[in-house]
Amino acid sequence: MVQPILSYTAIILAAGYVFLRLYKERSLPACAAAGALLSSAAIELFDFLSLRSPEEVLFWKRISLLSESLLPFMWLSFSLTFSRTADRQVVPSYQWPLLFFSLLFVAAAAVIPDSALFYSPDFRDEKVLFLGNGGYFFYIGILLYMILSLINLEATLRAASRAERWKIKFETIGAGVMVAVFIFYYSQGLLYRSINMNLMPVRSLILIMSISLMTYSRIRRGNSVKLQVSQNLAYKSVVIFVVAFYFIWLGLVGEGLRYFGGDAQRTISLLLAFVAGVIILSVFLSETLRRKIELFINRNFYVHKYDYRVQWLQFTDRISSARNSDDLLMGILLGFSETFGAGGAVLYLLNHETAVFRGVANIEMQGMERTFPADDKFMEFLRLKGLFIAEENGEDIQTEDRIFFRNQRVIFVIPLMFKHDMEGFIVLSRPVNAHEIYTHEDYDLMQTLAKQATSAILNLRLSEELSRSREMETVGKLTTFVIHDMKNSVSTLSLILANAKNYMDNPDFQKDMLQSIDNTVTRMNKLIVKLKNIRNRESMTFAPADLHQVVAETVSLIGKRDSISLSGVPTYVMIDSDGIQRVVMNLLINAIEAGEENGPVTVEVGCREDAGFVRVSDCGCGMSVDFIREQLFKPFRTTKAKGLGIGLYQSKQIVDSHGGRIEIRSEIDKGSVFTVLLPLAGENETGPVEKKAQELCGKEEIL
Amino acid sequence: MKERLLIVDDSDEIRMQLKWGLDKEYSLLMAANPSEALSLFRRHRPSVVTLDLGLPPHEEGTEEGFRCLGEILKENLFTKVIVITGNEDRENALKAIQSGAYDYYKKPIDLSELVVIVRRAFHLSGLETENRRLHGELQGRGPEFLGMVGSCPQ
Repeated sequence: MVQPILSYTAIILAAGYVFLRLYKERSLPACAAAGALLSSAAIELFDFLSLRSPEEVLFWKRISLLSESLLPFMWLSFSLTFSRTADRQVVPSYQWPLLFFSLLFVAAAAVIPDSALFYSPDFRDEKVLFLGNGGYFFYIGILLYMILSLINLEATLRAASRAERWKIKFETIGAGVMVAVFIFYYSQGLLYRSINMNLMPVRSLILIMSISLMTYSRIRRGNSVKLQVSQNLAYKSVVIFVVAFYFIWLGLVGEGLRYFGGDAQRTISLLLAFVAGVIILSVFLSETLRRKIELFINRNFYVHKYDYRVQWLQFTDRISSARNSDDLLMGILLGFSETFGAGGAVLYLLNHETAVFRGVANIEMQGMERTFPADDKFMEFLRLKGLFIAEENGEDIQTEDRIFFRNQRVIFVIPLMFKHDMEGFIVLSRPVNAHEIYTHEDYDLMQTLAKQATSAILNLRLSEELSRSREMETVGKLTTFVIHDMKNSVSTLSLILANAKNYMDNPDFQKDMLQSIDNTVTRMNKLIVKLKNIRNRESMTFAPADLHQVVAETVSLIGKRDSISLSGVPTYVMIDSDGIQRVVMNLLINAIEAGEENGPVTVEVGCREDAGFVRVSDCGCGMSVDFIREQLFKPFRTTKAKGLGIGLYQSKQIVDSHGGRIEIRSEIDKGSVFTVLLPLAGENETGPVEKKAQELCGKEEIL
Repeated sequence: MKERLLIVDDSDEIRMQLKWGLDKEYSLLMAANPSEALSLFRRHRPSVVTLDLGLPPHEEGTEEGFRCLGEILKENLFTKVIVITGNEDRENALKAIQSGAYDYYKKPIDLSELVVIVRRAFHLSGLETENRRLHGELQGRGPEFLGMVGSCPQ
């Protein structure tokens, strides 16, 4: 009596839902949903008809079987399109063939003869259909497809953020329950090789419930959710766990029944109760197990909007890859605006001298030229509250600020606090998704990222101040150095002038005068090179150049030409000629100063393997291994009384930025050999030059 | 006979030009580093020395210069040493005078100024020598004992 009411209700509800969906939209997900529900309703209808007329059971069941053959395709399609983006990428690659094979069920339902499907010796009395081989495998197939659909639905729900989940939760659960009831219904086939149609009322009831749930969700909560479901989410499934557990339980009960008869059921129930008791007891007693279960539940049932670890790593990556302050500030701002979906963002920093907050980085926001004095009311508010949320605190601030923020569509202002001082703040505006719901989880993440941003900014400030004071130190040293040299030069010139009055006509004096002037010019040239060394870090321009020529020019700049011997062949390298000239000059000066007066310095240019090189060797005092390792390339370290100890440091920087390297071989009291390796001019940049270089290098073809 | 002047400077061209500037008036001794300076000093006992403080191997510092100044005064306390330096510090000027230098001259060198200073140094040196000689004669002792007197001042 009850069955017709249940069945018809379920069918009508399903039709209602389908109508509702298709009336609103004719999209792929809507069609898939309609297919899934209609096929389920058809099964309900024909199963009911076969129950009502037991004489024609095989006829009706055959039609019902055809409807059932549609289940795998319909539900798999539904689970793959429900609340997901219509993107081919979204479907895991292994599910494409499965989707295709699901259509074979229809063919199977049409082809397999009745006898191979099911037989029912006494359907009138016992509403059980026993399965033949064909039917058995048919239903097992359906079972597997339904499990897969359930896993997909779970993945969708899991991928949803909290706000999204709120919208689709009931509908997903409804659909999931419907799939689950089919799994339950067909799982009988797996064990008993039969379909127990006595379970029909249960199935109908659950169908009614689940369709109601889906309809309610559709009407009350709408559905605008389009999720991008990541593929690896599908591998973390609770469904598999639960289904496996269910089958084990089913097997235990079924097998138990077969072996021990009806009485065994009680025994098994007792056994299960006992095992459950033991499990519960051990859960309560075991801290580790409790933690593990907690972790399991956390990971699988409670999904955070953000994966903190991922967010933190991304943010850290962004700010640590910044190469200068502008990069860093922009990186911080981009990190914030992307994480929280803000269309515009501005970063304000406190200028300690003027005590005013000023915008230093800006993404897509106009009209933010406004500055905030450090003692502004709003700043006080930020300092106290730790966060300004336009939706909540909109009324708590001064009218002027309120209007300003409203016009700018500001959603958040996040202070960058260092202890109790505010170093700056970040303004986020124009949410990308206007309906995005922000929760405490967002606020927490904002404050976490703000802390990190603050420390990065403070670090940058400190290092800038340090390098500025370093620079001042360098300038101080340099000034003394330059003045000393200049005074000597001026002394010479002034003495020449004074002497010239008396001895201008004396040929000996003329000779001496020329010599003196020559020396002075050399000295001043050296000074100029040293000054060039200091004026550093302009951007380099790389161009193919003949290393030999560059070195030769450098050697000619140095006074003591006799003691330097240059050998080698033209070698075309990709360099910033000015930079390399500085490097070579440094090495030459070092070599000259390391040796005795006019000690020999050999310079060699050539190419080796895939790099051009210039090698400067001296027979001077040499360096200890420790010195090379610990001091050589550090700034302001030197063995020389004269000099700043920055020559080699800068040389290394220059060579590094060429992608080259400096090799050192040195022995105390025997001398040092510095080899600078530089990249050869590449073929694509230079063409003919490269060819020439290779010819001139006299090496085998590289390509 | 021209009086002996020792010039200590590490710059070739400065020495060369000072030679032209002062050669007429004095018999010049030229040294480029402390060891040359000291050996020339010991051999020729010049009464006036111009001394560049920045000497090799530490041209930037003043240690070598001060060391050389000390050695010279140890040899003969009455030597008039004119310290020449490119260093800006007042400290060095004070230290030089305290160490017994006769005068302190800052670079850049102006020949006419230097000539005046050197002349005054020789003048004073001459007066002192004369004074000591007369003093010695009064006590009935020859100037050959001057060294002994010099090593026990006050």
